[in-house]
Amino acid sequence: MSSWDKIVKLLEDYYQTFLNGVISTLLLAIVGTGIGLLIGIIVALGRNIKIKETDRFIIKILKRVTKVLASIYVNFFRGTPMMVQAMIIFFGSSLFGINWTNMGSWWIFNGYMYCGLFVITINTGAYMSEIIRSGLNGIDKGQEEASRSLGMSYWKTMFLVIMPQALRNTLPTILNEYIVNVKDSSVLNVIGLTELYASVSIATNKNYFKVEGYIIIAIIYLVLTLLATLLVNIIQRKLDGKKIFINPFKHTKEVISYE
Amino acid sequence: MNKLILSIRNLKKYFDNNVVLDGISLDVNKGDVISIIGSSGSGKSTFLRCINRLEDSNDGEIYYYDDKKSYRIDNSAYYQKKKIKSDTRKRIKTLKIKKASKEEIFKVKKEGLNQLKSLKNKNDIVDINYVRSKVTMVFQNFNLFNNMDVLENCIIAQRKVLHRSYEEAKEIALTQLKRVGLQDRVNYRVNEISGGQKQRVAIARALCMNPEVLLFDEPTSALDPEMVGEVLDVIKELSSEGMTMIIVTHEMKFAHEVSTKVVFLDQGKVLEEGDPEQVFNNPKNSRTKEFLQRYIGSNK
Repeated sequence: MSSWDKIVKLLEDYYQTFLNGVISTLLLAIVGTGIGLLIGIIVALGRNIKIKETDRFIIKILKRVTKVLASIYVNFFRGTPMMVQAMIIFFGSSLFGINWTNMGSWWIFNGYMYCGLFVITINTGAYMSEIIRSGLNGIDKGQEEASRSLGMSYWKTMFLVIMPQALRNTLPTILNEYIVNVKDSSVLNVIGLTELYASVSIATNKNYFKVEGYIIIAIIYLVLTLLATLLVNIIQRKLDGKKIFINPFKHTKEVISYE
Repeated sequence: MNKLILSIRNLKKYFDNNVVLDGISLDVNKGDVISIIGSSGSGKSTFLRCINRLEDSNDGEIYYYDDKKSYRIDNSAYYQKKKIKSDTRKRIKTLKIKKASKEEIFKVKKEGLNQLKSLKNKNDIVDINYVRSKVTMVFQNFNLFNNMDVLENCIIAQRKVLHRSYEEAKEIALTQLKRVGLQDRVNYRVNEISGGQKQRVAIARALCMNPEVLLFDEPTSALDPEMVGEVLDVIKELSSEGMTMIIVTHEMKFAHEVSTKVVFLDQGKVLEEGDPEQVFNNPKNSRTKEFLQRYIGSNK
């Protein structure tokens, strides 16, 4: 039996397993990147708090505590492997009365999946916060000053002026984090989560077509990441392009009627 | 006509131990165009930023007069507190070195506490953002919002600060953009227009807030000579329409032409103020003379 026949046979017999694996992996990557981005924004704002000299004593302490907590979170989750974090959270949760294995299961959703989603989200959040923070720091200070000078509050300035620009500038890096997540979700099989990587062992535990199985998922991973890379490149090109944001007819009508 | 709209009393500002503003007082009436001149580092920009509350002043008061009421800003309480605390600490230290009795030290402590109690937070501002919108600022580097187009730049603050409806805000924005001669650039992105046009948009953006006073922080310093003209023309037109303005500038000729009052700042102090004819032609202070000679000499 040649390798090619083995691959065809694996795909014929276990296409459902591989499909579920692909869906699980994509779910982990998309949810992890999406919610991780939200966490990242919040943590980046926490780390960027400015302590003013004229603040009241209690507010100074609160700000300091927020900064330290955010910094601990980021440094812990960036400084340890996701595999180790997954193990600690999966087995350590029982100390807090959470038993992942007891949760009900439906299709690809079960306790392992919930735990995996939690781990990848919280891990991505740490990386995201650094990406967002560098984006925020890259915005010219004059933007904030101009907005404040017109009377807009700190939060209005942040979410209407600074954050859109920071997100636009960091969009390629954020999508890159998604590509990393597609691949890195494979380490979550250590807690028993059957994503794409773990689906090979299910498909090959009787017929031992190991090499062929891994070749299949290598190609699938490659396709998934290449598609994302393509998307990044397109978006990047459009961001660099001069006229991408202009809708030439957006206000024309009103201007003419005004004249 | 001589209605007071802004009054600054003995304004002081330090960066650490570096005195930037050293007791500046200035009254601004409606319709005044006040030019502030002086060499770099004399505190001109910081003065404007203090008026707009981008910087907290360390001492002195600023009064803003609205149609209905007046607002007073006085940040000095915090700094006075700090000063009293450090002074008392120093006095106790010297007393300890002199090995004074405990009662004496206690007396000094109590004195300091009484001083602290007599201080009150004098800042009676309710809505600082509203006050800010009444003294809008035009910056040296334009600082237009890069994520919006020209019209949105003018609309956003009206919507978020003055809570105008979109239709109303747009109408006002279009009127102001027409006033600065940019009605045909309404739907352009910020990075597609020239420097002079950017500065004119910034002026329109500030005008949209219906400010009592317009602050210009070296509006032409980042522009090439050709573009300087178009911006100065807009400012001149505004002054002829009776807009109240405070202009920090290095364009002496322009300051001479447009202003009703010229203030010469040096090392955080007002060395000379008066009407432009007098300041430019017959400066009293020798430092002003020196400064003006260098400038006018180079301009010719």
